Amino acid sequence: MEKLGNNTTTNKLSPAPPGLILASLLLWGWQTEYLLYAVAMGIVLELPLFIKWRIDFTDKDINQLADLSGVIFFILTVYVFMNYSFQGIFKILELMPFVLFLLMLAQCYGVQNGIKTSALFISIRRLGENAGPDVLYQTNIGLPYVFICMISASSGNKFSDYFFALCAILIAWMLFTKRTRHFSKLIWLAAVIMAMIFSYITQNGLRQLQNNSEAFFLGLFEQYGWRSTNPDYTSTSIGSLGRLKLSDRIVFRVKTDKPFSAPLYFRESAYSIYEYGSWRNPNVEFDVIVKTANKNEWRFNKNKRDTATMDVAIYLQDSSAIIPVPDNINTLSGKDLIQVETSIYGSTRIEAREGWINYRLGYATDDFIDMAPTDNDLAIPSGYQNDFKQVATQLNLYSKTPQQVINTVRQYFNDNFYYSITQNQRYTKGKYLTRFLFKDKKGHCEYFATATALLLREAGIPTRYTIGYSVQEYSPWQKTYLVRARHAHSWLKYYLDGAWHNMDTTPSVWAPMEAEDRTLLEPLMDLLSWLRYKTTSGDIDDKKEDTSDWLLWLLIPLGAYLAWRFYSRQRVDQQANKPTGITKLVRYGIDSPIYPLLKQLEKEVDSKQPGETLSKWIQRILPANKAERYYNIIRLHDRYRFNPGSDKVLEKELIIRSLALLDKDE
Amino acid sequence: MLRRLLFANFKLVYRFSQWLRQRFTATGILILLIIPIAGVFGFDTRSTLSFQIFSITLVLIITAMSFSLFFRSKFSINRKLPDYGSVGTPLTYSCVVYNKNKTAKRCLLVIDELKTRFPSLNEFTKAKDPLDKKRNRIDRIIGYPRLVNAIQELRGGSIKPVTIDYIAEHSEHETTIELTPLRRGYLQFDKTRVAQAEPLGLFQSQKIIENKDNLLILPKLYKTPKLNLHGKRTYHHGGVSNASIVGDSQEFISLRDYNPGDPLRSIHWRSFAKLNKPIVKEYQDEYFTRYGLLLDTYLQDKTDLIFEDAVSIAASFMTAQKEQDALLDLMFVGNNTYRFTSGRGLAGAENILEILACVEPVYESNIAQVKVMIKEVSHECSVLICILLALDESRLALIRTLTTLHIPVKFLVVTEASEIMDTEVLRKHDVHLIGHDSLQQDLDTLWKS
Repeated sequence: MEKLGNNTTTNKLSPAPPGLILASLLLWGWQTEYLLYAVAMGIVLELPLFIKWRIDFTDKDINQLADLSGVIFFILTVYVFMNYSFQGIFKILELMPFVLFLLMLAQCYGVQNGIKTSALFISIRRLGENAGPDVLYQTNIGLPYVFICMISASSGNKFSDYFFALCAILIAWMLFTKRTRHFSKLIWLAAVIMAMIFSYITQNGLRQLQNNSEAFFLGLFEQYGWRSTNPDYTSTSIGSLGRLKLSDRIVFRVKTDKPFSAPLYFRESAYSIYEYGSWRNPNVEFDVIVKTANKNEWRFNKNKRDTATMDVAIYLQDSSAIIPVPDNINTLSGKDLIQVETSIYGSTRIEAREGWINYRLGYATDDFIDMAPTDNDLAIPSGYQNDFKQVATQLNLYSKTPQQVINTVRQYFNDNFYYSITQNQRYTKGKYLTRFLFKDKKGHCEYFATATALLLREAGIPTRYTIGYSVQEYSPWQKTYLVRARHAHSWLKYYLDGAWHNMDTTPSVWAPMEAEDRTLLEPLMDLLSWLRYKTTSGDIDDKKEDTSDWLLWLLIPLGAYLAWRFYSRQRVDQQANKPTGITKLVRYGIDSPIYPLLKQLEKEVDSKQPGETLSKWIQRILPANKAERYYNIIRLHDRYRFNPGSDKVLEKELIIRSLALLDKDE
Repeated sequence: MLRRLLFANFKLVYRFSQWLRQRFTATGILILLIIPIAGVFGFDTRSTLSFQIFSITLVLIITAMSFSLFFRSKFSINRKLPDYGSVGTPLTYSCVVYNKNKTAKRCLLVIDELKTRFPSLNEFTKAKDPLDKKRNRIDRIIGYPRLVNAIQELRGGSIKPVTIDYIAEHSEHETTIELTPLRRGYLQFDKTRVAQAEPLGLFQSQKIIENKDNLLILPKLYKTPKLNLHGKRTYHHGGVSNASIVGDSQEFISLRDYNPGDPLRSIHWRSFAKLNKPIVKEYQDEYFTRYGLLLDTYLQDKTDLIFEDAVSIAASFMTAQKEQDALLDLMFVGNNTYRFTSGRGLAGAENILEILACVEPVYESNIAQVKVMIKEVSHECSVLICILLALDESRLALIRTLTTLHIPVKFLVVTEASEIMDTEVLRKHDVHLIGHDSLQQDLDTLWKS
């Protein structure tokens, strides 16, 4: 039984007004820098306004095109996700007009001038013709495409006021053609202007709302959140309750010729001032490192040569980021890098494309190039001065040489403290380290690094708190060191004999203890991460061919298939088909041998009148005795021309013979 | 519990979707859809400018909806319905819209509405969607399409909105509305909405006018072959009038003396006066063909479509027979046992169709009652046609009973396409299958076989 909806005002979407699709594509092209494509696509989609021929697509063809668009969307999603992770959603958004272009082509050049809902929704397609007309109907996707172009254009995120104005104009243009005719244009105009003014105020309000809410939540985050890689500032979990848990996510990969003999520290930044659970630096400035001429290489010290290299692959969520590097870094090279900067506190900041990038690290044997110590590197917060004085006295540090102090402190923490990632007791604010030193004697790396740094300062040795990663998990299968989020670590560096040296007093059990919390899914996640890395990252050098776009090659056979589908369809003249709408008119017998003779008669005697049959015409223009001889041929011709069931070869032969006989007689 | 919760939400979802469809134009719905999409992508105002599109579309919709506050028109509606309609066949009726306003009105949309009853939880759980097998798993499990289908069934028809370009002030306009009935029985008209889109063309301002009416929809009819069962004419005491209990006989043959028990109305008063003793009119005893049509109403777990098919077949047979001297008995068991007779001087085909329009299926077995009824009336029947809804053990027993009556019996079993029947049983009892998907085709071949 036919099912119909009821009680609705459903009327199907009408086509977009002429020129609107082109205009929206231009907006998209301008914002996303696909202007050339946009112009070409817009012209192709608006061209049917001026040409008459159309392609007779069947429902099956349109379904296949919709499926193809779906496949392209899927490939694009996988590709973009691998390249840009979740940030890629905006990339997909940006490319949507390309994805839907095929369907728009089919709509604009098809005789149907619309797309059936069954092509767009598999669930409706499964119902077949049984689906009621309230779900299965032909709709015009022109206006939705216009909006998709606008939303895609918004991902360009440029010239916001102009963008708003252009969107307002496009939407007003669309509304003008759909307006209710019984109201005057003035009322319509007043309504639209009023709506646009309020829209402008609303969009400014939304922006302001985000700023305000972000400020509020960031304030909360600063207070309670976990660390962030900021060269100016880092908060620690000193004083936090509960169990520290860092994820197993692979943050970066390090490929070396041979495994390290001991864990290697990759630092992100060093800090000199400690206050209430946070470390910070005063006035951090970055210096741009000059790129080596004709090479994708940045040399930190022009006088040194690399003693060894290692290849690093890291996932960047932002185009500008602090990267972990070994202390004695000397060169950075890679085609993904755009700019390299370094700070006086040893942070290295790069500018590169987002997603997985590769670079080569060259390092020298000498120690690093950080700024010489300042007074800040000897400062102890006033609240802790007595505590550290007490420990220093207890360890007799004041009477020891700096090297002896280092050894004593290392031994002190090794003998008296143990590692723990669980903190159950709440301490008085500003007394966390006191509790750590004298009561609990347990904590995680931040406690050890901070307490050691402050204790050495008490003994007169300048120190800096350092954060970064400990590179220690080697994957024999991938022949690469995998550095996970849980390998994040903090240690300190001290200044002795005119150079900075690393020191880590955290018990070495910290890494195995944190690894105990890894999930069962870790191997699977690693495999996915490896796949994503393999399929999206390029090579370090320009010389080798970039294989990161291999997925795009899949589009070539799809494109070829599509072109073939388009080309193989019979083109239909829209004018000729107007009465029938869809079916193509097949003219049997148009090659009848009688036509040259009729043309000759028309030229020599008189032309046939509209509506006049051949027999009547012959009867009119020829004498009766002569006309008689034509009647039989006309009958044969009529059969050949209009009887689809007759033997065409035989009839054509008979006409030819009769014409030959007629020639003979004449 | 979960189903109850889902069902409660379905009510909200359905009402909201109906409200959207009734209130928004196609362009309005498109803009409404853009709001959440632009909102999602524009959530971070620094990542994209999508929030600007969100603002524009949101404010446009609010502006459009605000216009409906100023819609203050008055109308009255007069519907002129036909006597009957038939399932699946679109019918038209006229509707007179009277503009009570002081100004002329343009571009109005008239939406006539049938009463929409939301099914109960019990009805929803029992409801069957004919397209269920073709739907995806989620739709099947959650069952929202099934609910929509059940609502459409209860509503019973679909009415296309019509537009009125112009009505002058204080004048009326007659318009034709098309209704496609989806089920038999009475359709209840509830109200009429007169809508006018606001200047932006996104939202409809509406005036709702209460306007109740009923329309009887008859079962769908199929072309049936002429019955050609060689049943003998049987003796019916008292002629046609007696067979039907009511009416006067046309077959008067003579006068005779009164016998005790003769009805008073048979007394020939003129002869009584002349002879001074009671004389009565004597009628010719009639022999004629009396077809019995038994409709099985016990649906069990079959879909309603099967029952609808059975009713349609019964209706088709009841209306197709044109023999002047034949009577047709329609028999079925519902709350009671029913037997309706049509024929010369009795109820016409339209009366029978009215009865069939209101037959409801029964979900508890009544085959035993059917047996009793058939035994009582079988001696009057020349031919019996049984339209069955299944071929289970109880019905097979009924078939066996009927075949012992020594009158020609034709068994028709309405089946779903997927049903498999025992061919041996079919052949033995001369049972004909009528497939839901090939109903007309099977009816055409019925007597040829």
